[in-house]
Amino acid sequence: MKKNIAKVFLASAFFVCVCIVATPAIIYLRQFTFNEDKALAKWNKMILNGQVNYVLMKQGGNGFVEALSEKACSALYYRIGFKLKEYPVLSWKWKVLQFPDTSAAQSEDEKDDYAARVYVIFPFFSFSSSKFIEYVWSPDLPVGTVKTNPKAKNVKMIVARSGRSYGGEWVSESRNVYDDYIKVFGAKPNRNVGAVAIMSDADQTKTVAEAAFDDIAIERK
Amino acid sequence: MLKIKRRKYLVKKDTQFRYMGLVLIPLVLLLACLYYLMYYAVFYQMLIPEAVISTLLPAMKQVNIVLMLCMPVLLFLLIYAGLVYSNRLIGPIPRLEREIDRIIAGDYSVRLKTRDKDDLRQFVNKINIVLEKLSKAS
Repeated sequence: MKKNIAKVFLASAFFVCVCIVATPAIIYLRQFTFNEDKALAKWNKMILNGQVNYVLMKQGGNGFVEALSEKACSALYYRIGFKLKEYPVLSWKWKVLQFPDTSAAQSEDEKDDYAARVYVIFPFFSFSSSKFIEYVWSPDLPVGTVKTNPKAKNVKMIVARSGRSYGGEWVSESRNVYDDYIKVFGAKPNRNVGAVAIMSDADQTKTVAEAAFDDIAIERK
Repeated sequence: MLKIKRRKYLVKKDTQFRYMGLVLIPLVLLLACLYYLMYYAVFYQMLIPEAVISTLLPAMKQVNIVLMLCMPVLLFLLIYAGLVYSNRLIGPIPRLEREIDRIIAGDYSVRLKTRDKDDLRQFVNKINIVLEKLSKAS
């Protein structure tokens, strides 16, 4: 009996070991955990319309970026060049603490505020030949909605998360940007990624938006 | 001294156009490169599409309108200046050839003529001194 228990134990241990070895480790090109004090040092600020307050916060030892937009619109971007085919997955965690109030907005332009946006930017020779994918958290549009910027066909917005019911909790996302690129542009990417960015804006609605971002990672499939 | 007025700016088409092209084409290319570099530098600095759409593209539109309006005038001035300055070098050559042909034929009384602003003026003056000395010696 004891021998059988030992055999089962050994077999289980062996199985666990095999599983650990066989599980492919995620290969990251870059991970932004925002745990260090100077985690935003290499992130550039792009002010569009007033300045959004991007602050490094810590909660129980875990760092993250909190964005507070008061009638403002500005982004944080990080330049990083890589082939999307080699590192097609972008993952991140985000939470929305306050959505911009679009109830008074009368046009699509005025509604164009999102508490949280994550960008993947493919710069090329000019703006029109560059490509942009924006992942947004929309309070009302369904997940998977793709919108083309009315002023630029090369800027595609994908609703990655929808709804207000998350109660300010962290939500993890993992997007295969390569597949999304093909889906929204109808062709394989023929240019490298040049930057990733995050943004929170409430300038069109002249209201307040608040969101937080964490654990942004560029990884292999 | 007899003043020779410039009658034609285009004396030797091929040669003048070649030299004008040598100056004008690199100049236009350089300007185009500078225009593109400035545009790209600003675009690459902005990167966020909403920023580019709201700031850079309207600015570029204005710059392009100004360029479209100014470009014909600028090109006309460049071509005119190219003609005038290439003419100062190349303009006298056909006449000098005719006058030298007369000297070769034995007419040493001929003196080469240039206009005040011709680039070959000093060179032609020296040839005239040689001709003067030759005719005195003979």
